[in-house]
Amino acid sequence: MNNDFLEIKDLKKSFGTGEARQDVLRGMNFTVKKGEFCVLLGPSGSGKSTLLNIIGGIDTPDEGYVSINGDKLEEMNEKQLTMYRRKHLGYVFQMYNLIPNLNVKENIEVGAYLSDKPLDVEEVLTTLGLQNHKYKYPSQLSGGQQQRVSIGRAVVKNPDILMCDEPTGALDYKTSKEILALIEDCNKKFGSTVIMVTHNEAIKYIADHVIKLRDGVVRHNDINEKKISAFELEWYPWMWHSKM
Amino acid sequence: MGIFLDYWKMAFFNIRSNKVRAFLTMLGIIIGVSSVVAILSIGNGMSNFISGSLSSMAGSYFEVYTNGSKPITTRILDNTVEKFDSITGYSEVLAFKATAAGLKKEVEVKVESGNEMFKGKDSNEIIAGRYFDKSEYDLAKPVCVIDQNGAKEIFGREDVVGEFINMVAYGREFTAKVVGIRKAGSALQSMLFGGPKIKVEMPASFVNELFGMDPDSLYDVLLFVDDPENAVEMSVKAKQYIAAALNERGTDMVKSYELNSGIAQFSSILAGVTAFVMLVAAISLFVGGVGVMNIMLVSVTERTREIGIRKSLGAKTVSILWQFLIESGLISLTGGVIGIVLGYLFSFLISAIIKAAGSVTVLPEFNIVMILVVALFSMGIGIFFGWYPAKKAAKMTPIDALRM
Ligand SMILES: Nc1ncnc2c1ncn2[C@@H]1O[C@H](COP(=O)(O)OP(=O)(O)O)[C@@H](O)[C@H]1O
Ligand SMILES: [Mg+2]
Repeated sequence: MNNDFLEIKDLKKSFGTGEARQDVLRGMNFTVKKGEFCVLLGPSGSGKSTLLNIIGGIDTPDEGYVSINGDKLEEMNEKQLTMYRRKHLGYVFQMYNLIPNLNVKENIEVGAYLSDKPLDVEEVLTTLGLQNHKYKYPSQLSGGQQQRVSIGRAVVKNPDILMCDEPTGALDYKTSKEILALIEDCNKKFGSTVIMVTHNEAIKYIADHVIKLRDGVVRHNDINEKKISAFELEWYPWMWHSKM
Repeated sequence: MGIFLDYWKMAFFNIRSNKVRAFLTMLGIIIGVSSVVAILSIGNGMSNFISGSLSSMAGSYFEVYTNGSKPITTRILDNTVEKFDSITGYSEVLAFKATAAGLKKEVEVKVESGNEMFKGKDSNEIIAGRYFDKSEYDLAKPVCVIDQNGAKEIFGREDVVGEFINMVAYGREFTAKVVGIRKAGSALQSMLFGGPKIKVEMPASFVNELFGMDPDSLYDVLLFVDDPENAVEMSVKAKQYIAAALNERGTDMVKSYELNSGIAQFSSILAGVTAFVMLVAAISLFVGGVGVMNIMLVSVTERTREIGIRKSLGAKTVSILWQFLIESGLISLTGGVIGIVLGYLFSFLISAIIKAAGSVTVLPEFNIVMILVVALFSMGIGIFFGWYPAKKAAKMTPIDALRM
């Protein structure tokens, strides 16, 4: 066995039938190594979220497979999939998806309860700069703060794989950089493998591994030798939309 | 187990953040449980009251009476007492309405007469003076014992031993000297036995003389027994014996009445009424349960996204099930506890109303076992009616739940 942690093999997925049929993934192949910071780049509608859902075991491919440590997701039953999500995954959603009637701390505890090796909730709150807000409810927080909570909820599980679906998609420049720095931290500090989806090409410079998607297939699959830290990152609004 | 605690926490958080809704959901349960509790505790109080207040009167005697076509002679009765060891004696019963001249107006009274054993017919004690005795009976003296209420109505006061009461019955005027005062009977007693509320007890010998009746021809007698346990058996045996002596074996000319069976009948009527009202309360509890289900369904729909998030983070299907079940169970348990408290308070209110209306003291009774049963039952309702919504929530796939 090589040190490929996550393997995506000939993955195909389409939605709808007949006229309305849309092939979103058309045979996607790539592997991710353990501990890698991997960025999935692609324009809106290119199937990034669909791919992430399949990797997360909450959606199923039409063909091909996803395997983690050699275990194929498609061979797992409902219970095993639940255990897979519980043990290995941390999920940061684009739209934060916090539970509205729980406060910040409780939202993070939701993640902690689901893990058998959780990090200390208070420590996570401190790391994310949420100590002063821990008793606030999601509706009382800014977008950046909500995304921090969402990251906290994923990170507190101490997951093997941290999946982030456009975590900065709705945030401004400065906040985005802070959020990216946090994700970078988790990757370094806890050794989590990070798979981050974005349509902002500028972000690729902080990754070890950049995968560009287009028309349902992998267009470029590059290892970035000269990665920089999130704070060194700079981009301008006009750079946000990839010209690929 | 920590996870399990977490469900309670989650359920609590959710109820807390939807206080008004949770309260409205509870309302149905509260109304149902409080009526069940009030009915149960008043029902218990009633049967306690019956077994306490009424049963004290019962058991020491039974009544034998004929339809009037043939009298029972004192010889037959003497033989009856002779034959059955448990029967200690007898007294004739002559009862009629009379009008007494009161302080301000005429007062209707019920004269009950017998011999000195008649004292034991009523469990209310003599609180002043004494009962008329054997010699007064033998000499047919115009003496009487009157109850407390009667004394007040006729004389305007209670200490009337030594006073005289003028009465008229069937066109005959007579005067009786008060020798004793009996404690007033409960309203339920006069309700059960009917007639005017005021009771005047006199020697039957005087009444016989007054109306010129044959003292040896009795139509209604009380037979006293040594032990209440024997009352029922003796009432049957003595009736048969007396009927045989009158050559009326197998006919229904001679009848007997024993208070215990009357009480049993009354109790069973009471139990029936309680059961019916309980049924009505149970229906309201059921409606409350449907309310819980309704709200839980809304809650599931509203929290679809939350379910999706939890599941995509690795929450198990059973966890979601538990989360919702505990929530509905907790809502209805809380409603149940509030209902128990309110119902208990409510039963005191009912008790006060009964007391005001009929001067009967019915103490509500509700014990710890009943509290536990009712609490568990209301929680069970929440779980029962929460099951479908919880199942619905738990079955959702994360991708569908997230997409909504
Ligand atoms: N459940 C679905 N049913 C139908 N079409 C879908 C569904 N999910 C995604 N799609 C379609 O698949 C395409 C890719 O969607 P998505 O994976 O969300 O793209 P991205 O995240 O890259 O913006 C879009 O055109 C979207 O309309
Ligand atoms: Mg997307």
